[in-house]
Amino acid sequence: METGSFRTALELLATLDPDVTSALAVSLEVAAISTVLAALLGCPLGFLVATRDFRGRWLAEVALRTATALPTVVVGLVTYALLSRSGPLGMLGLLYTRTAMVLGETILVTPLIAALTMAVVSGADPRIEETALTLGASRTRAALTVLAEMKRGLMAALATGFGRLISELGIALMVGGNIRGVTRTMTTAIALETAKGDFALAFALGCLLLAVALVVNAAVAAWSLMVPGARPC
Amino acid sequence: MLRSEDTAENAPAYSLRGVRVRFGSRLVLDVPVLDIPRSRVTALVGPNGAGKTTLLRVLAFLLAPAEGVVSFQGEEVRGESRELGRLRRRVTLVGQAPLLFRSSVRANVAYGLRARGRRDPEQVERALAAVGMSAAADRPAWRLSGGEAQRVAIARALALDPDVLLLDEPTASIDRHHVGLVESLIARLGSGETTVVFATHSAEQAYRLAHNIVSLSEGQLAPVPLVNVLRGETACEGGARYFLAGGLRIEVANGWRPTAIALDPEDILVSRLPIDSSARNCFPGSVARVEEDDRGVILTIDCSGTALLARITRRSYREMELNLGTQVFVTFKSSAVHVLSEV
Repeated sequence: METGSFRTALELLATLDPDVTSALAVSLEVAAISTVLAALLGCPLGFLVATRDFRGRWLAEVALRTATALPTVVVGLVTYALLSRSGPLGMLGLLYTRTAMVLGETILVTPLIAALTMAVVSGADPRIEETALTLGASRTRAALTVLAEMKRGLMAALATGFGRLISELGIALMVGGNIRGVTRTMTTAIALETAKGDFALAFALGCLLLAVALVVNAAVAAWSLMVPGARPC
Repeated sequence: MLRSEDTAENAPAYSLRGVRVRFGSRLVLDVPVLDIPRSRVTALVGPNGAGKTTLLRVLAFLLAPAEGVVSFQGEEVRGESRELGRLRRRVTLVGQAPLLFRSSVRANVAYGLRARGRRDPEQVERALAAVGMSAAADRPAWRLSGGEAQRVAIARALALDPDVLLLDEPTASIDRHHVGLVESLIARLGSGETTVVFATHSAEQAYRLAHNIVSLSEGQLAPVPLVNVLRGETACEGGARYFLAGGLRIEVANGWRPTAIALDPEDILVSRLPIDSSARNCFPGSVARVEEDDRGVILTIDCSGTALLARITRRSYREMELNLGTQVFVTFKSSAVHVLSEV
């Protein structure tokens, strides 16, 4: 039985079964867009918390770190409440769409990317920002220079964020609704197929999920080695 | 404060009044009054930890003093963020251990121009040529030696053609051959419109290159230029007190038992024959080095192994027919000896 499932799983992968490829595409799309959005929000946030002196800075730090541990079902619940017909954003009719998933996943992973950016920037040489400023850079350009100099660390942060998203289940299920071909991701499909007892498809998707994680991390690691001035961390 | 344009034109590059910088509770810089002249070379001299770097960071508008007023070219600096951004485009600091961005040497030098929205490859090449780094333009900046990195950092500042160039120990890690290059660069900039302020622990370098010397010691302005600093001990003989340093026995009018003294090169007379005068100190020596600046000639005179700097006019230099190795006498009054520290 088990071996049979595994063989079927390989066949499904080899023949590019539409259920498999569609789940892969949805997973990649949602995770990639959410990672980009979370980076656009989280990197500046993390940079500011790391470099600016303001009242209650430690509070912001603690809040960010706490938010990295947000349970996905809580984020799913909040996003659901926002988007459900009676919720504040209900009129947009976004529930059970990929947009809803992107919203939830972005909420989930923004604090993680912000906290990791904060750690990366805190470890940056303070001379980077000062050098940029004394060469006449604006504060924004100086900040971008610091982020550019620390791009290996930031890329690792983004890869971590992407990894969390590609394997995320709670939000995808709660606000995506697991609609076949539309919002069904690799993880929601695995959950469903396992519940149905169709282990072959679940195995196939599981393997694919691991492969995606492997490829992304290998690519980031390879890229890190090629970055100018790469030093072992 | 209201000032007319006219006054602002003649105002010094910087005026500092009651400036104090604290790190935590420690007072690291305390400058009651300091003016730094425009279009001149000013040297900040003092030992490590004297506050030179802190003062340079204040002048670069990177560090806001806890107290006091800094005026730039006659205008009081309020510390508002947009104003600081504007000022930082006219003033640039080259740090002692400068940081280069992880890109090519050329991209590093072009950074400040790009920050101003300018692309000027020729300006970049000129700046690189000025520090002798043209050949390294395409090299990755992180592969440079400390001295090369320092020269690139200087080029990066030169490319901006700033009103004020601040240099922190600009020759500290540079090899001997290129020290002369950087020094002549400083002299050339200072003879033009640029205001140059550089920190150095070498009083001799300061004296050679600068029009104006600011001595710092433990965060305070020191009263005398720290040139011709001699360390030694005091001996009393027949009612007179002598300071013994190297092979010299210097009669001192001031102080009780000095352990370190300084002599202003302006106070040292140089002659071919011993001078019979009221001056209490007269030593034989030989000319070890001759340098010129826009105020005259600086002689380094080796007196029994102790090097003393003396400043004379170009005319005296010609008329005395001095050359390397010429035997001379140095003469100075016991009251010209500044006591730096005593027991």
